[in-house]
Amino acid sequence: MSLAGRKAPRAWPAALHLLLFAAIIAIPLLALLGAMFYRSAVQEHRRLERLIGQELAELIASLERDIERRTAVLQTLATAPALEAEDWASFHRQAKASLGKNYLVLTDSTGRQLVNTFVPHGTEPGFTGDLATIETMRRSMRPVVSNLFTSPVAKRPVYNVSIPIPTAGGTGLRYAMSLGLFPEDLRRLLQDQHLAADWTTEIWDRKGVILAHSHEQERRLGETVPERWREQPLGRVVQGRSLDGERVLVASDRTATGGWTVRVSVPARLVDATTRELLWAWGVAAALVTLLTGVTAYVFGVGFTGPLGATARGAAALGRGDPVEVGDTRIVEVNAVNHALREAAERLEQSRTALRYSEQLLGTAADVAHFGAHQYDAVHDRVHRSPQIRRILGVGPGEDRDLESALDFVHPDDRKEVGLRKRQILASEQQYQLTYRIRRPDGEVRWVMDRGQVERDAAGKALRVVGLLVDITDLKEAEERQRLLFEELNHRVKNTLAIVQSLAQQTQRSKSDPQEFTRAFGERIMALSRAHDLLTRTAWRGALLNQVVSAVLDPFSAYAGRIEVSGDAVELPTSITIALALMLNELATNAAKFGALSIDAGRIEISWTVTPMKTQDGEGVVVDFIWQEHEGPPVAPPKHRGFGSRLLAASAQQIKGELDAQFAPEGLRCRLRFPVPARTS
Amino acid sequence: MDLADLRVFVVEDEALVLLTLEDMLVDLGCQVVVAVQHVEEALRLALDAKVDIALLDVNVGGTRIDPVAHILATRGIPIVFVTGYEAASLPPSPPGAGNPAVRIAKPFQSAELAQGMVQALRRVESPS
Repeated sequence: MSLAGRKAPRAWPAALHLLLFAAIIAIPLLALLGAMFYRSAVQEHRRLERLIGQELAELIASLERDIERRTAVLQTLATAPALEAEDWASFHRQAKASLGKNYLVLTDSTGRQLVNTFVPHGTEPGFTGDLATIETMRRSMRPVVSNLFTSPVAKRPVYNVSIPIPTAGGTGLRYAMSLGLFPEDLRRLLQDQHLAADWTTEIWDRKGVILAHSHEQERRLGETVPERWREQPLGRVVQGRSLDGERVLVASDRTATGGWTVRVSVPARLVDATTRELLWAWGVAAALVTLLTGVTAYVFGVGFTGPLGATARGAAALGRGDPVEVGDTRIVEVNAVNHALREAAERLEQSRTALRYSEQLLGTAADVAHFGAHQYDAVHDRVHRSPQIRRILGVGPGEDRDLESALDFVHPDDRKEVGLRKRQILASEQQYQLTYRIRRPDGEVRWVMDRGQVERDAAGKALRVVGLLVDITDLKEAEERQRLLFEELNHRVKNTLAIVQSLAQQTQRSKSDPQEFTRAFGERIMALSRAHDLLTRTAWRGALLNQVVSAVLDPFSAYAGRIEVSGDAVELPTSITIALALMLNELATNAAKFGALSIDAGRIEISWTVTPMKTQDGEGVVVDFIWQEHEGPPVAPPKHRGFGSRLLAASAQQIKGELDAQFAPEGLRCRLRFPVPARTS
Repeated sequence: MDLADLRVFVVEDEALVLLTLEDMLVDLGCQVVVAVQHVEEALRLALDAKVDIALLDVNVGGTRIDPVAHILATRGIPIVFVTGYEAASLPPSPPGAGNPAVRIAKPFQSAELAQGMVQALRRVESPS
């Protein structure tokens, strides 16, 4: 599954996620809480409303009962015989006695006052002040409750409860009997409810004039209530304003009898207070929850982001290849990731160490073995060289080049061939091995072996060539030296055989007797052999002159006390060593046969001097060698040139020396002066 | 073919081999006119020496005989190369000389020497 194509989702910090999580829990809770508080508030409100309604109903009932009681009183008085008898003075007396502070007014159907207990009988005013009641009663013949009016008699605001006294036939109004009442009684009625001080109750008459007010009786009595109050719906609690402008909850209703309005109002602030309290409570709760949420989200968020941040840094370090330092946290999953990161880092470090080690090994091996790796990108025609190859080629660091210019390092003589071969290999071959010369920028020529493989694609087109270049110059030089050595060996062997052959032939010429031949030939061969031994000890580089002399004289050890050797040390090259050995052997053999060694008294003095000499090759020396025989038998120059003298002469020539042989009477004196060239190899 | 009285030009650095060569030639009836052991000497004599045939060692004490061979071959003198190397290359024939090289290898017997000399003489006479 590839993640590459998908759009990355928007990422938020962990703290924000936690905040969201907390909010998702907290907000509904707060909403719930708010709803509960709201319900509480509403219920409170309703409770109050109910209370108001209840009080109102009670007040209405109370008022109606009061009116009923008054009516009942009137009814009772209406049965008084004095009334029937029209004994107004008695009736006056009777009525006054039964009533307290209230007074009775009896009028005829026209409104003429017949009895008024407020004043002494006989002083009744002419007509009632409350004609409206008479009118109403005449029409309805039922009890009437009046509005507030000012009594001419009481000279103050009063109200009436009146009953009609019908005529004998029952159809018309005979008399109207009213009970004069004072608004203060109504007020008492209101106060008897014992409502809380905030509650305000009022009673208005049918004109909206205030008859009683629970708090401000004196002030409000007689005031007309505002129009809008009278328009308020009955029996329901509504919001309104008090006369002082305060917001109130108010309910009003009418009495069945009289049609008066009772109004109950409660300042809204009571409910408001509760609502405000609840709001406050909710607000505090919300604030607390928000704070708690915020803080907890932050704290826990940090508890996440801290470790996660450390993990992220650890992962980045792993990516860079730096050490991963992530400790353990309190979060299990993060710890798991950290653990995996540490392990990955360890494995990476291990494999890097192994890689470094193997690279070092390879590098060291490459350096030691003088090989280097190279790659050729056939697709882009680019040759890439490793540092080791650059060292072999003698070039410094540089850019990759194309194949053509990369062939510059090949020796001009080999370049064409190598180029051809390489193109052939690219075209069709799988593995290759080429040996050719390179020429370094400083001119030095080296031999290299170039081996490698061609990688091809499915179609067979060359993709890459991976190869190894090994500097085999040392090998080649060793090969060459070996070849020269073999040739040299071959030459020497052939030469030696030729010498042996010559020795045989020469010996045979002078020693016809087979036994003599064998002895003489044997001796000469031995001399040659000893010279070879000497040279072998120095790997055929040459020998010291005194060593040559010793070697030659070795078979003549019997005569050791009679031979004196002296001279400075001087190194002789191979060719001179052998020639000289043969020469000295001849001299010694002759001395033993015919010369100084052939008699007891004879002795030989061998001496030489070494003198430096400048040659074209450098500092060489000249050796002046003298073989002096003493007290030997008398000698004379030989008549024929024997092998010995021929050999001496030819050998002297061979080593470019000057030979001077004197056959003096006291003994042979052989002087040989020859150059020893400066050692060139 | 008779090798008698042939005048021979010999270059060989190894004393003993030279002696033997001289003896062989004398036995064959030849005259050893020049017998030198160094290329410098041979060079001096190669131009004028009155000889009928040359016996040349290829490697004379480390120096190749080529210049001497060149001179003698240009003069039309038959050459027999005496070599110790199996693989050693012989001096090239100078252009126009028509005198391909004859070689004998050390060590050799008298008969081989004679054979080589005859071969060389024949080649010069009829260069084909």
